[in-house]
Amino acid sequence: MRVLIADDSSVMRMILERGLRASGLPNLEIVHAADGLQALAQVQQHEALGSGFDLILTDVHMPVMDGPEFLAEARRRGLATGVPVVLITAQDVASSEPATSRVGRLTKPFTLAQMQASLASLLEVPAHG
Amino acid sequence: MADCRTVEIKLLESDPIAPSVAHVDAAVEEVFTYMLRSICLVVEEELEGNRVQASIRMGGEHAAECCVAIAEAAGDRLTDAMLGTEADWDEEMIADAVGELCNMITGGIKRRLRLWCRNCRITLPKVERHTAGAPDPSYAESIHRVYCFGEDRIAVTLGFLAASERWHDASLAGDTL
Repeated sequence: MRVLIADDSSVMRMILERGLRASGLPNLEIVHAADGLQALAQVQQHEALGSGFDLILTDVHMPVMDGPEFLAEARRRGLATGVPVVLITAQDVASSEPATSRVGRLTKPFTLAQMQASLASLLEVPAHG
Repeated sequence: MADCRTVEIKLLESDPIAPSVAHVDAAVEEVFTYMLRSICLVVEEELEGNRVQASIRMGGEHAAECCVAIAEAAGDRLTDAMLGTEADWDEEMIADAVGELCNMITGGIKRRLRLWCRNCRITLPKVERHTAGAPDPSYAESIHRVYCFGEDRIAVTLGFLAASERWHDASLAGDTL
């Protein structure tokens, strides 16, 4: 499973990676991006190579290009179609992302169990304790 | 030391508009519990020595600034706790950890003050290092608490900005997207 983590905080990227690796997801390949623009470039590059992402975790609040802007631009370019997304924020955000079964939300701070439950409901796999 | 888990729920329910110590305590306790896996206790001491400080501004109908500071020597331990592993972290990583701590506390305060923070935008964290003796941030009005984090201390200040200090910055991230 190829996962993109977009967050301007390297600490949060490490926390998310740790949570992903503890979740039992198979054959994990994790790619990091420090803002929405880098994330967009990663999505574009990987899809051009035929190795698109299976899951995107993105912070909402980032410099240069924030999470919703990244997702909107990706959608506009026909990228990451149908890819499950987890929006991560410390605030309550009324996101412009359509309420679908492919968009999850994770509010900081969160426990490992909360992160895994969010992933499980999005990916329809059992949460690992 | 006062156990800030004795949050006055009635206070929060009866006066949800104005920020209070209870709102700050609740936001900090949430971060301590979920991210730092530590008990949250209020102490009377202030920080000593050099410190690392992160601040986030909130602007909208009201304006405030949330500052979170730790002693420089506590940086490794805070980062260890957030990442669940011990290491010799560099200054950039420690600054990132303090910034993220401030981000989560500010977000927690904002979530608990939906009416007061209506239409409120926040900045990204600004992290600075201050030498011992440097003045603490000062505001006309503020809520200031110091929490025990093991043998270390974490200081949280929610400062309220006067009308003349308010600003409207298009670069702030909005709470509605």
